[in-house]
Amino acid sequence: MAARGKSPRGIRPSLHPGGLRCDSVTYSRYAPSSRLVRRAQEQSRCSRDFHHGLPGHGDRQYTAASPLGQEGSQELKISTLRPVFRLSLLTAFACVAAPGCGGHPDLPIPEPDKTLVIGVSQEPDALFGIVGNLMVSGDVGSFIWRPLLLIDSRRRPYCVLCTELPSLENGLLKVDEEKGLMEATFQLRRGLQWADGTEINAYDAAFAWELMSDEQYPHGASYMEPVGDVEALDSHTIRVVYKTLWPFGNSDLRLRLIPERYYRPIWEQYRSEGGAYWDRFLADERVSVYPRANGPFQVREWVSGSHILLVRNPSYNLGPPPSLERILVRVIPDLNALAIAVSTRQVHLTDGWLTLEQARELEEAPGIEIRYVDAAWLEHATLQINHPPFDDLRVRQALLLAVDRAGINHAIFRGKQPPAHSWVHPGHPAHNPGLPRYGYDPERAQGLLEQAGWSREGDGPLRNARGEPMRLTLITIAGDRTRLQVVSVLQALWQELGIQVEIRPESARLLFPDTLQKQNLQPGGVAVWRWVVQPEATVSAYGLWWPRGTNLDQLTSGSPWDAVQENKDLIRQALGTIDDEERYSLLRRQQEVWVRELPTLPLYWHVRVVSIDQRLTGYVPSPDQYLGWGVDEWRFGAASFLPPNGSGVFLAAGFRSTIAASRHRRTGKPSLLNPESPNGAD
Amino acid sequence: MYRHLLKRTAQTIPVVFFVTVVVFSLMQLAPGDPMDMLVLSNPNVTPEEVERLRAVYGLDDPIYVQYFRWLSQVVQGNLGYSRLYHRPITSILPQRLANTLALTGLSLLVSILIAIPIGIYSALRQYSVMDYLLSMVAFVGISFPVFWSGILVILLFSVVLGWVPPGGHPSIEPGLGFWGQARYYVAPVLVLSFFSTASWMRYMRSSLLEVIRQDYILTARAKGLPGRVIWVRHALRNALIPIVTLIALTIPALIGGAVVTEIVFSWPGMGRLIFDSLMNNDYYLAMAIFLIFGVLVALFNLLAEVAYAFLDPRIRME
Amino acid sequence: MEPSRTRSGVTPWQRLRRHRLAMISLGLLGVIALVSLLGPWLSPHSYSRVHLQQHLQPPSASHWLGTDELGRDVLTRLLQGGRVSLFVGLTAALLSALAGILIGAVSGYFGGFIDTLLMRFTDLMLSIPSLPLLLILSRLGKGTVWEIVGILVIFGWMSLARIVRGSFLSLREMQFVDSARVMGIPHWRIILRHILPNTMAPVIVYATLNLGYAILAESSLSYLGLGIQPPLPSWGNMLLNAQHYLKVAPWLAVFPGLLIFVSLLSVNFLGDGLRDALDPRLKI
Repeated sequence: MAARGKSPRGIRPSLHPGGLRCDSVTYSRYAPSSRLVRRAQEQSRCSRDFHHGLPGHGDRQYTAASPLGQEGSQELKISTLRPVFRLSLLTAFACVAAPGCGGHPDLPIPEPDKTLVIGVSQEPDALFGIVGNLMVSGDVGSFIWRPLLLIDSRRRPYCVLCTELPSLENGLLKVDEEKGLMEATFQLRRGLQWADGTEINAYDAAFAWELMSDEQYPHGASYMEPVGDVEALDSHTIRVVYKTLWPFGNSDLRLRLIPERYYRPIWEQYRSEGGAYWDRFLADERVSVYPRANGPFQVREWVSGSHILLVRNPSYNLGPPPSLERILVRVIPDLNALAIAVSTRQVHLTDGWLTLEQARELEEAPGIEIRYVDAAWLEHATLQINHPPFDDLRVRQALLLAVDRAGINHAIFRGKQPPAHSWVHPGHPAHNPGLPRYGYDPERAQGLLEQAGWSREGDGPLRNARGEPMRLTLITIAGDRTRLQVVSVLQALWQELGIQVEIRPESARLLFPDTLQKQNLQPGGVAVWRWVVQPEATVSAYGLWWPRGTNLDQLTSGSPWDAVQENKDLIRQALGTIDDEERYSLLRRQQEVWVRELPTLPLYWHVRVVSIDQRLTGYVPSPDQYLGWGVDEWRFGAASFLPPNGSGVFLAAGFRSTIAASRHRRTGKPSLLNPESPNGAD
Repeated sequence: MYRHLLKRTAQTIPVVFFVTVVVFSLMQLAPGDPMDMLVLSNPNVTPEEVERLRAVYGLDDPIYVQYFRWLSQVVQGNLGYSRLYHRPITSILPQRLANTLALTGLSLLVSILIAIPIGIYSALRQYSVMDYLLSMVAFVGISFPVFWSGILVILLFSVVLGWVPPGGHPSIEPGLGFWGQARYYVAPVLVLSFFSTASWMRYMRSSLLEVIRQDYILTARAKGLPGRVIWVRHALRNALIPIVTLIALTIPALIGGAVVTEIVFSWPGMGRLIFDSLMNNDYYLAMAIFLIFGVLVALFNLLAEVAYAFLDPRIRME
Repeated sequence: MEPSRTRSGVTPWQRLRRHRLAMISLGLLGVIALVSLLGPWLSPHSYSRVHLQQHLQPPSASHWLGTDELGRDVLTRLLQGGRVSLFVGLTAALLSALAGILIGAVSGYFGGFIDTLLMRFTDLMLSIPSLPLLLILSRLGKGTVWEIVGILVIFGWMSLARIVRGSFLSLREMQFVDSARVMGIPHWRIILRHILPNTMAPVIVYATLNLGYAILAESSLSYLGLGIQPPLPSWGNMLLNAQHYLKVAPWLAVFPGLLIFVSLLSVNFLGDGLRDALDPRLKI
């Protein structure tokens, strides 16, 4: 089971069938269903029902009387009242398109049965645990799959399918410093089941490795680097061999299990047919659409373009069955429509889709809680630093000093997305709080530019000694409104320095692979985009600090930054340091170098807007985790605890505590995390 | 007649393939390919590995090789699979096509049913206040972009009045009765038909205006036929002919769906499918869609011709 | 045959002037176009200059229509947007009219194989849902004004080509065409000087209608992220952006919406008036 709460709580034993003691009320699910009893169940906040002993009834639905039933009956009266009807019409035009207005106090709220509706604005690409590019695939997948290990909201790894994390102390982690090798051994819990009732065993981990290290693996076989092998020592022992020292060897979040008994024949069949077998294997509906997995839910129906219906997995025995019976994931591509669905309480949970402006309006809507959760998404500007004018440090510093990041935060982000001062999020233990900061200082910027040989006459363009004007092209993602706003501000502010700035929106598909990787970022090009920093927080931000001969190589190679030996040394050391504290201190020093040299311009940290219907309790949005990892704890349909109209007060308080409690980043799926989410879903 | 139809059918086949060639080339010309995104998620990837994967998927073959590979599969009845949705194309397309046709077909029906009487009225009372007023209302419909009117309609009907769900497809509530399902159609159909009613109304109006100036109407009048007979038997019937043709010509376009409406109302239709496939470089999916378009368009054009020949005796003379 | 003058000796212009609504529309369009053309020069503000401290201000003396979320003057942006939208609309309408006339005329005048070929092509373009192709094309470009115009032209010429062809088919059988041919006047001259003037009525009407559709199509493209890209304003993308601020700053939506509405309405009424004024069959 996935503990998402404050501490990783290890694994609970599977539960006994039959009735259950809960809040000192003992009841059986099939007790006489008088209205009172059912109401009591609702109010006891213990609507988790255990039906293991009652096979065949697993999917029966609660028909609990709605605590909102009275409002439902009011609806009838209202629709017969003509004047009210006319009044409503007026309101419609008075508050057009304002979702906040949407919370019509008399509106019938759909009866809360046990179907939780989650709104997403993008459809997942695949739900097979080891493939997928989109954040949303990870979010939906997190209801279906349970990996070997996970991280909690404090970014600490804990075992999900295994019994204990390997460490040097318990002997499960073996490190050979001289040869630079290491291996970790995981013991699987016994008796865990896949959805078909077969036991989860070590061969499933080896099978997942086989798939992921296959040369046709869609993400590239090198994805698992530096893992050298994953093997099953016996039915419940997994050994992971690393080719180099790897600080996360005892908690590699990429490790997966795929039910071998079910999938091997399918896999072998496609493989024997040759060609692009991995791709065709993935296109099999048994693989990407209706995967057989081990999470608390499984896909009952996936109507492309419309919704995904998840129902309980009857074989799930990692923990008690979840209280929710069904989860409906609705794809609502238009964000305004999504906000309206939230405000009318037809969508009960959204995470990371709504905009800050929509959040502001929804804050006033009754029955909905809005939270702002720190995300480890660094918005930054990538420059071609191995080419003039950006090869000059003073120019880079001047550009950053000329940006009123606090002003942007105030005007566009309502103060929610603070300026970034490093590539490590302030919530991460490796963050260095003592770094020098680049505040808004246009005069100093002008001075630095003059030192660098760029001067201007009066309001004329900024020119260098040869009389050439400074020209920049700001590249960003077409159709991304917020980014275009930010870029417009950058343009305006840089123009005030006399720099000629042109904006070039580009499609998300092209920005990263084409523009940044294939030398299409012309000299003077500045690309503004988002980097999703991994939870491991050290080794993923290649483009930001390490010219590694891969992705963003073309931007940095041969640059002064490339030549900073101190940076290279610190990174190399950090990569080989297994002790967390020691590694963090190396990274803190590396950040000093980074801020001094400014290889890219950090702009701000994103927050995710989370909307939660009050009837849903137990969901704790967390920076690093996928949506459904804590679904076991969720309850839906219980009476709300927040006062219907005073929710704003609660929100403000809730917001602060959320920020305080969770200054961490959210990852992409630890496996498939990535730079910019490709479809502009970000 | 049959020979003519047969000839036309034969003519459409090369046209359909011409379309697929054009689409395929255009897609290949656009920068970027499906590999880019997948490999992006791998920070360890090397250029060599990317090349190897591209070779596996046949993405580095010349365009014509890729095209003929696709064609040979299609001829064998295999549309391939979508690289965006990771499933066989045949498992996505029919459903989407049905959803879209239900939406656009219904909208066409509604708008024609509204537009024709209004158009007739406007033509009869040309330059009257009512004529101007109706035109004005119709233009309100045209002037509002759908992404705007759609949201307004959702706000009015589902937020304020609470009559209909704010978007979505009835399949999200299994077991709905006819009326339950119909509620999901109200808002998108309203918006779509509002948008096109105006133009149908204008067509109807000008078509009728044109007909009543024809000599045969004058003749009929001179013969002393009663006004009602002239209007219904002579004017209206003839005025409807171009409208019917136009409707037939519009039908193929219905298949394409309405991207913006489908996005605003979260409708799982063809418009969004095309949009997504094109934006994500899902070649096979896009090609399959265009192939189906081609075939259906050809089919409907034939039907239109038959209908036209049936309605207008002058055609048969040819 | 002199089409522009009817038996009663009334010129189309005189007839148009009698069409009050059309004249009002023409006036309105003229004013909008003129103000858009001159406005950005007269305005003390810049359409792209950002003033973060003054964002989302309601209409006031210094900002007549308020400011947007980046503190830019809405009026100035609206005028600049008018330039863009009207330019896109006008150019697209004009160019697609030219293309339609050319293809229709050639097809109708020469007939035979050329006609079959061109008309099959026209049918094809007409019946393929245009948006998908539009999407493909816009993916190739970067959303500059000319690209948007080009895309709109590619999908705007077909109906016109059909209409022109239809007129040509009937007109080329007329005696005055025969006599011109007998006199040895070259084809292009017959097409241009003798037949074309007779088909101008529907062409003008259609071109005006196209203008309206082009403005709208641009806004739909903006919605899909493929239209005119900010910070360059167009009415369409301003309207789109305003959706996010409806509650806090309704003025952002009202004015671009109103302008699109008024322009489209005017264009359509003008088209109506033109049709009535130009249609030679109206000679009863």
